[in-house]
Amino acid sequence: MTHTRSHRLIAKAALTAVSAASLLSAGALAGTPAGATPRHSKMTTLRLVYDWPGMDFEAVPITAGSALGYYKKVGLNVKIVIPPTTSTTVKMLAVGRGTIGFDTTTDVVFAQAETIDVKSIANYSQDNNWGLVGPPGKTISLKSLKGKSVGIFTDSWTKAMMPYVLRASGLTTAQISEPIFTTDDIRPMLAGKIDVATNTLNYAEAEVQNATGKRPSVLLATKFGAPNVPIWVYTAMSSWLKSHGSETRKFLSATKKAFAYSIAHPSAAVKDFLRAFPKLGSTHKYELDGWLDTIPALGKPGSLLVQRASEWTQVAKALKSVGLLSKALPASAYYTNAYFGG
Amino acid sequence: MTLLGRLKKGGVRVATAIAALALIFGVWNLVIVVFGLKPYVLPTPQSAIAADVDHWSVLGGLTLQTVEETAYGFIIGAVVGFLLGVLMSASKTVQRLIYPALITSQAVPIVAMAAPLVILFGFGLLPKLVIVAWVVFFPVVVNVLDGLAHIDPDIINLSRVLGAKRVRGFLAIRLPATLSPLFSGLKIGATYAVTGAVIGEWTASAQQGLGTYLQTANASLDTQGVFGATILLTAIGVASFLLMVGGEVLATPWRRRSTARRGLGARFRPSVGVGSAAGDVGQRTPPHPAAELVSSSGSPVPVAAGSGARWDPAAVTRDPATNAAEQRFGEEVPS
Repeated sequence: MTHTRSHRLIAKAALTAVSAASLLSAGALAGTPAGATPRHSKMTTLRLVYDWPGMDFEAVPITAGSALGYYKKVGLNVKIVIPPTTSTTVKMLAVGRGTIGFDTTTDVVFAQAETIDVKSIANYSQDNNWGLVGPPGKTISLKSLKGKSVGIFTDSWTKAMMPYVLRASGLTTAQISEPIFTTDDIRPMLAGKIDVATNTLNYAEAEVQNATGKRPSVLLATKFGAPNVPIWVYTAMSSWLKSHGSETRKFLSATKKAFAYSIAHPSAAVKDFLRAFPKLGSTHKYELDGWLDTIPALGKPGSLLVQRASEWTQVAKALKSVGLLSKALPASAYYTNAYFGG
Repeated sequence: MTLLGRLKKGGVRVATAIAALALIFGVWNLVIVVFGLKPYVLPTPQSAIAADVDHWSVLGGLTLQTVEETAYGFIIGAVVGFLLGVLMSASKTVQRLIYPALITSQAVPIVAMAAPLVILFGFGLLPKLVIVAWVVFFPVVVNVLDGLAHIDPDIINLSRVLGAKRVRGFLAIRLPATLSPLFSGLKIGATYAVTGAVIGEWTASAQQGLGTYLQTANASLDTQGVFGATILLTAIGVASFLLMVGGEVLATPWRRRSTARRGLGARFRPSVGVGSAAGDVGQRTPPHPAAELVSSSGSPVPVAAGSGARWDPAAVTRDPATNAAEQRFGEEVPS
């Protein structure tokens, strides 16, 4: 994905999927008041494949839900699995290495184009918080981008968004320099090596705040014509959903409660997250900053996790318009709301 | 060997290489069938190559970019590695000082080093060249150092006795002695260099290459594109290796011939000692007692620095009675 996740890469060395899973389970047991949850004779294990080869604050609702016993209460044991690369989540679901995915909307669209029948079962975020990021106190102007260096990632979201940047600024790719990054473009931006970074607000703000104590200047893509569509979603294979409808409903129901708790009690939820991943090497401040910056993108309490057909139509249309997709499928091919209300 | 014989030998080699390639592709296809892998997990080599053909208009330029990074970085790494090897061989103090640092440099994960390099040098060619050179220089240093350390000291002594100056001794004995191990290091470095170029591109790059294309294809779940780019990167690595093999054939003819070629390299003819090659000095030639030079008549040979006498190691023979080395001065040096 587009965001800065150097912390995730550091964490990669320290974390393995196995330890993550065991820690989560331990966290779930430790956080569950004795006798508060009914004992299920048969717990179903869901392997949630993360979107990045490292762990960070976007997993806060899941770890909080585990710590509070929300999943155990409905007979689920959620294990987080860390993928080897940023684009492996869908493939891991397709080959049965995971059951639930944490993905980007663009990944779902590309997967369908490659005939991988993966579907989004819930939105994680509701807004497009991708944009241009500059040093604190330095206003970003599209008009002054000519001749400047704009750091970009190789991911599909950035590819889909950059044409909006160019269109709004009236420039071509030849008129700006686009250094390509694969892990982090915030540090080079703060070091003055590039003029502007591209990133999502939650990751950019967390990193800049931790590095400088100040907020970065940000120009969101939605301000210059990009569609306001969700970036992250929870996914599953259609074939798996057909035989695990009940578990999916229970998962979404518990997750929704976990979201509500994590939004209402951010600091406590982040503590649960850090307890689940004690070897992360991150600080409570960084993860809390990141989580607080993520909350606004999650939408209003009444619309948590809810998907709309129009979002998917817009995502597919945007990818097609920039030549990344040859054929946009109907929105129903990309998502389903059938598993809400379990 | 006759021309026909050479052609036959060459034909067999090409056929073997094609068979090896077919074997790799065959195993690749077999794995897909046996494990029932879907194309989005592992595409067939045919479809990956087809993806390369389809996108060659884009991939051609990207391949050139990666080749450029690989080649320049390789040359820098090879030169630095060779010079360091020679320098360290010349002085034990320098060797003791630098060797631990060299080993430490290779223990540092290159990915961790790549990010600061970019901050330091920007997003152009330079940080990529540094990364490639970093990958290449170490096997070169180690092999050159090894080659220089294994030169038969008697031959060095002999050259000194015969009046060879330091530079001449280096050019006639030490340099040829490094060639075989040098090419071993270069072959290792050549195959690793492309990996260095990809790491450089992945870290940060103002120009797209095959490494960044691979990332973009991966992000779009274009598995055929990923494997297509991987095949091209592999081809660059293999081609680099073959180039080094070709260079080795030209630079070390004594490994295939018992006599030196005329022309290139004939001046510093590597045939030294008792029928061994200078390139393998000390590696094939067993150490022998210090030689006392005697004339063919049995009297000691007056060797004076700058006497003009042409020293030809191949002309040195041993007196079976005294086990002393003997050079037939005044004789025509056979070529």
